[in-house]
Order: sequence, then structure tokens, then C-alpha cells
Amino acid sequence: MDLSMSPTLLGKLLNPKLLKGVAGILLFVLAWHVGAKYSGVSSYFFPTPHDVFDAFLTLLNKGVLEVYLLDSLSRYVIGVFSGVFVGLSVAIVLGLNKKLAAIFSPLVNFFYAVVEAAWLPLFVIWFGYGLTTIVTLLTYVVAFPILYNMLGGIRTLPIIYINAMRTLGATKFQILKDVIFPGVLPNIVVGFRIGAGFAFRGLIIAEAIAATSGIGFLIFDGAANKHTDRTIVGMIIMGALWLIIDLAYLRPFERATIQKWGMVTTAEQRETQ
Amino acid sequence: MNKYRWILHPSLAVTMIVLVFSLVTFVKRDFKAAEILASFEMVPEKKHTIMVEVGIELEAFHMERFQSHGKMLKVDANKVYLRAVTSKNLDWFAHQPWINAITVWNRG
Repeated sequence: MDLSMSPTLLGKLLNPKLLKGVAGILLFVLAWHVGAKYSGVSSYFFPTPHDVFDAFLTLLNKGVLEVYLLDSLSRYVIGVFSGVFVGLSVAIVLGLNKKLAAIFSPLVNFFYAVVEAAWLPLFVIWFGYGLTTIVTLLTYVVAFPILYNMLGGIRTLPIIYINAMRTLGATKFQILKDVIFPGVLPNIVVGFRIGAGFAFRGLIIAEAIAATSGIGFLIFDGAANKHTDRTIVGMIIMGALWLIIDLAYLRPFERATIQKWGMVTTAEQRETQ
Repeated sequence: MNKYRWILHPSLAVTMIVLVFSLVTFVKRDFKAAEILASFEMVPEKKHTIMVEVGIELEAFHMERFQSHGKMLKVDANKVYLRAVTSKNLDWFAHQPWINAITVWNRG
């Protein structure tokens, strides 16, 4: 029986690829346990999986973990949507005005290369510690990939479509709504996916410096207070959270948009073609 | 079976699990908070002096939360004494899962 082809939930859970992945994780945990237990170093330096699990339960029972998770997620969502809004707005302005695009394109390229961590000290001075600094940073991180990709999409849009609309008497807004925006939607989706990934990393860095709660704060506060088991709990939560966001939201969003439109093909699709 | 397959879509499944879990947690806490708040008389628009009995070992995180909801008088083992606690803050305390009981002495 080929279980990988079974459409039932049990069939999906018994998928050989999934089982191999789980086996890999279990092997890693076993190697970690053996290494930590028999290495001779203290649990502060190298906590065992059991120490980490205990720390996880302690944080959960003390109500700390849920507050930190909620804070991190709310900052992430606000930052990402704010970044999308800013990125799209600036891209539309620059994309439709050649003079402005010529003036600001070198600046866009320059700032795209400046990592978010370099801006953090300045944001803390300007906005202080807290939500404003974190959301501003995430907006910066998300806006640039969207802006960059959308500008690239506008530049590569066949001019014949725009000219055709113009000959029919379309206004600038109609050209934007019916030609440019649909034409660059795949680029926006790609930019959004890149920005969402960068934003997650930026969130952890921002919380380490500018917050008193959140998963990033947990990671650095744990290490500062000799609770390395809590640091590892934070790291595992960070990885698991990103996996959930990616698998449950970003990939389905990509499948429902640019893959469905044929703009991107997956490895599986290429193998079957 | 086919028409229910959409339930297994990852984004929907994750969202539903999170929503249901959150709902159950909030409802449980609401019941617990109602029990705690029913054991004393809360006077709206007045500030209360209270003793909070906690069920955990306190950390800097909890102290910070205490400070933002009242003026801390002292900490004695698992009992924390605070004054100038408003009714809204009392409600917050009652909803925390790591708080077992609250004793209130209303300002006269």
C-alpha cells in the first residue's frame, strides 16, 4: 500500500517524507541529550533537552510565555501590515513618476542594503524603547523588499498594455488599477514573502534591545540572567513560530496567488513537467 | 468526506486551533476571576489595598506587572501586598492564571 498517496489524514501523517523528517529531529534531540549529559560541562553552559522542557513548562505555568508570544505576534502583525502599506504607497508614487523614480532610486538601493540592526540605536534615540521603535523597524524591513520588487515589476511591465489603455482614453488611476497593479501583483507577493521573513528576524533583534517582553527579549534576558535553558526555549519557539507562519499562511498564500497564476513553479511541478 | 476537506487546510486548521484554545482559556479565566471577585466587595472609583496570594515563584516579569497595577507594599513568601489598586486593576489581577486568591481591604 502506497501510504504517501492516501488521501486520509492518517495517510498524510504516515507519509515517508514526513516520518523521515520527524526521525531526523528525534536523532538531533538524542545527540543533544547525550552530548549535554556526558560532556562534563554545567547545565548553565549546555542545558539538556530535559532542562529546556522544564524551563518551557515553568514559563508556561507562570503565565510568562503566553504574554511574550502575544506581544511578539501583535508587534509582528502590526509591523508587517504597516510595512506593506508604506512599501506599496511609495512604490506607486515612484512607479508612476519617472522624475521622482530617477531622483529616489539610488536612495532606495542604498537603504535596501542597510540592515535593520544598524537603524535600531537611532530609532531608540528618536522614539525610545517600546512599540513605536519596534513597529518602525519592522515597517522599514518589510517596506523595502515590497518597494524594490514592485518597482522592478513596473519597469518590466510591457509598455504596450499601458499604451493600449491610453489610446482607449483611460485615466492614470484606471491604468494603475487595471494594468499596473494586476501586472505587478506577483512581484508584490514575492516582496511580501521576503519582507515577512526579514521582519521575523528583525522582530527578535528589536525585542532584544527595545522591549521588555517578547520572544526576542526572552532569548537575550535568559542568557543575561544565566537561564540558558530559557534562551533555548525562546530559540525553539522562534523556529516553530516561523514554521507555522510559513506553512500555514505564507505558502498557502503563495500557492493561491503566484503559483496559481503560473508565475512560479515548484520543484515538484518541474519534475512532473 | 470530500466536502469537509477544507477543514484540514493548514491556515484554517491553525487559525481554528488557536481561536478555540484562546476562547477556552479566556472563558476558564473569566469563571475563575468571577469566583475571586465574588469573595469581596469592590467599590468602583475607589482605590483598594489588597493582598494577592500567588501560586508560583515570582520573577522580575511579575514584579513589573505588579508595579504597573498598584503600589507594592511588601512581598512575604507567596503573598504580595499592594495599595492604590483600582477596580480595573483588581479585575486584571483576578484574570491572571498564576494568582490563587485576592483579599481586599477597602479604603474607608
